[in-house]
Amino acid sequence: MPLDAQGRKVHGVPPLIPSEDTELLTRAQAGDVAAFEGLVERHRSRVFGLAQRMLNSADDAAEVLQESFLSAYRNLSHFRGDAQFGSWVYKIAANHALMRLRHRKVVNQVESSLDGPQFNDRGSLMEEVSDFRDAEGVAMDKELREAIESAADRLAPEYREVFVLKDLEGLSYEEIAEISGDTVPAIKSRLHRARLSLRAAIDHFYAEATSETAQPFRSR
Amino acid sequence: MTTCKDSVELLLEYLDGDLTGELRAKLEAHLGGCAPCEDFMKSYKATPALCRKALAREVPKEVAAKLTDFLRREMAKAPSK
Repeated sequence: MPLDAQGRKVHGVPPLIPSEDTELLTRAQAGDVAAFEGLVERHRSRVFGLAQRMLNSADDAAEVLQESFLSAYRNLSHFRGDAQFGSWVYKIAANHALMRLRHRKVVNQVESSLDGPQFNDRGSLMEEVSDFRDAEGVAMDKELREAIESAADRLAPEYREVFVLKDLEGLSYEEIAEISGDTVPAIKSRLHRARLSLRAAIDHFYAEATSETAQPFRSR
Repeated sequence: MTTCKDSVELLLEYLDGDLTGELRAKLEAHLGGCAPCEDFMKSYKATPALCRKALAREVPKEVAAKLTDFLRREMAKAPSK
């Protein structure tokens, strides 16, 4: 079990403190393998999460995890202290995942799979909008989770990548542009389409749930 | 006149805080008088957080163990540069 600065046992995942990264990094750059393993342990969950969400495959995510930390290890001497190790390895992982995503041929990944709101000839919304305005108040049950997973999986790679990197992983538009090689306006446009499609899937889930039960949708 | 369609197209920039001046005023005026668009905007805004909840993942123990084995083999082959 890990210990805190006072030597007390810490339950669960220890907080990621950049200064601890710096100490481990200095030792790792001097050839201390155990120190590098310490860095891996601190950042592997976030890297795996990114790859899993980007690729929707645990096997592919596990490979990206290995490739990313191996790349980091092989380039440790090039890493300068003007950035955090976590951010650096995270960008390496995003690059690896992006390359896989773009090379992958998946059925149903076509432009027409993007859903969005329906408008009449006058540009007015034609649908009734479900009220899931408060994400914190929504119970994440198995059915809703599966509906969102399915909708995210149907996104074409160019939409999935920006949605994962911006909305799930919290990268800035500039960071995504650096990784993907796309312009910020292009990234924003694709993110908007991806959000509309995912919103439509969640809305559809609630509409179906409501029609099946004739009850207002589930909300805590 | 701003339509629902025009409003929906501006939501990302609006929620990012990048919409200013006349466009922002027009959008806010439309949202203020159009209940479906106001609900749509709120559900659009809630979508990323809902997706984060649904797509959260932990690294499985066996994957972590394989990663450690893999890196130890590779690190033994060649030290970092």
